[in-house]
Amino acid sequence: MKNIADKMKNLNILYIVFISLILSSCECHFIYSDPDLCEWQTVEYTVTDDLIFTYEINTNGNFLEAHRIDSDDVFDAFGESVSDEAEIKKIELVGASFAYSSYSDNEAEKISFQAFVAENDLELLLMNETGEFDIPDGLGESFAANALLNTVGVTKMKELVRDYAGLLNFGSFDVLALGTTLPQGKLCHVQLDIAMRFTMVYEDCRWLPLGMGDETCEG
Amino acid sequence: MNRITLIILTILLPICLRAQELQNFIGAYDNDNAQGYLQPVGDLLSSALFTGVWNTTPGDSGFHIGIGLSVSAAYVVENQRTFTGMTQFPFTPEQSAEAPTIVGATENVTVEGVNGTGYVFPGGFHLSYLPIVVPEISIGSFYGTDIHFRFLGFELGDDFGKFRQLGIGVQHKLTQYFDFWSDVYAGYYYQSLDIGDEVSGQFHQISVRAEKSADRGRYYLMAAYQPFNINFTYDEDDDEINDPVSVDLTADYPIHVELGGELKLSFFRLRAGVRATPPFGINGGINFVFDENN
Repeated sequence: MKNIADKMKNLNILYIVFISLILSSCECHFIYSDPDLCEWQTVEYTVTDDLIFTYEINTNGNFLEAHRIDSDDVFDAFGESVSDEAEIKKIELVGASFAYSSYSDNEAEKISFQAFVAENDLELLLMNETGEFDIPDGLGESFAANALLNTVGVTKMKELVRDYAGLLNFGSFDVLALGTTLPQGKLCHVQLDIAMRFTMVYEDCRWLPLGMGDETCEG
Repeated sequence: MNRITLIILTILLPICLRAQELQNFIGAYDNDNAQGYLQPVGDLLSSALFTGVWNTTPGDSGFHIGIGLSVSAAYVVENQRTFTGMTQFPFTPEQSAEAPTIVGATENVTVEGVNGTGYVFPGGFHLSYLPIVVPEISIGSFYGTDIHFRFLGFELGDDFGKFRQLGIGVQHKLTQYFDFWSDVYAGYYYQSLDIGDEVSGQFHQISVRAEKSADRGRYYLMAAYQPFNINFTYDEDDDEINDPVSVDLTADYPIHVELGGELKLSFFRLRAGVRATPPFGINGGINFVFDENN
């Protein structure tokens, strides 16, 4: 044992070098912070989030309600992680759904609506007439609405999301719900939620180890 | 917010990225697709953590202490680059697609739905290998048994908490009880890996190793079984509305066959090992061994 202790004492320098190597590699997040091992490279990112349009409908018959979306809403959902240099490659609408929930004073039995996207004076059909749905007592289930979507409105929505997330547009747009409740004359007091899930694909320049990423870029 | 990919790529893989930059990689995925997307991480970690893990042979001479540094890399095999992903609600109609895993192609895969809808399977990082550097200590031999330790811990900063890797293994010389053409050792090694509250991995290796001594070293052949469980827990929305997503990974490649050798030079030893089963791995290391003979 003494022999071992003596040898270890004589090897203090080696030991210090050894430990320093370990600690230094930890401190700089391992060897890849080394500029010889990393370079600026383009990487593709994907972010998915929902835009939810909520309407309180309180009517005895027909209704037209608007939910306004401004650039902050879109930026909060999709743009927060995007740097100034990032390039948005693609916006996809994954799908849409809607749900009703009724208030206690609701007397209506059925409801139907269609949705439009409106920006400035332009108004485009986003969702075709849903047909009559029974109004639930309280919170109702969510219905898939992809089959009701209109490609013209969908294209416009994707364009708006792209512009707002990329800070190319600082305005606002409305999603309108136009509908009818039955029976006419009875109080319809419900909340309508339309959810649209978008995925944004963007490309950004990042400091990455050699061999990763698509191609080199200017960091 | 999804921090799992960040953690994997900044620490486990590791690379030089900052917090929120990677939150979105698997944000498009719920449990099932996230499992397929992340699966290679578990298998590559298991390969890298255990290749060359038995670095120091118990000396025939009795007591010894070894201090070493192990560098390993596990190489991605081709079928780890894709998985069969399924589209998820509210996309319709449901479709499957060959999608990139986290080590797969960088380009996303998009499938088209009805009325202008589309579903995006995110791209990966096109990684070729996963490297790991770990310090280690071995102490023995007590009745043909030696104990190995690994430990690495540090604060990650931001709000990620602590990175902590811990390993403890025991190997025992079986041929002290019977004669055989080589020395034979049985071993069990446990390693854990924790990152904050979000990643918790337990890795096990049960091994049998045949070893022959040479003039200035030794060489060996090892067969092992390596199960693991890794749990990733993350909050998709960074809010308290939805429950956090929890993803469990288990081994797709638990069989480990390894060839290796060690060159003995005075008080230090150079060693190398190769994992011969996918995902293939290599290991190199240096150990300073203090025993009663040097």
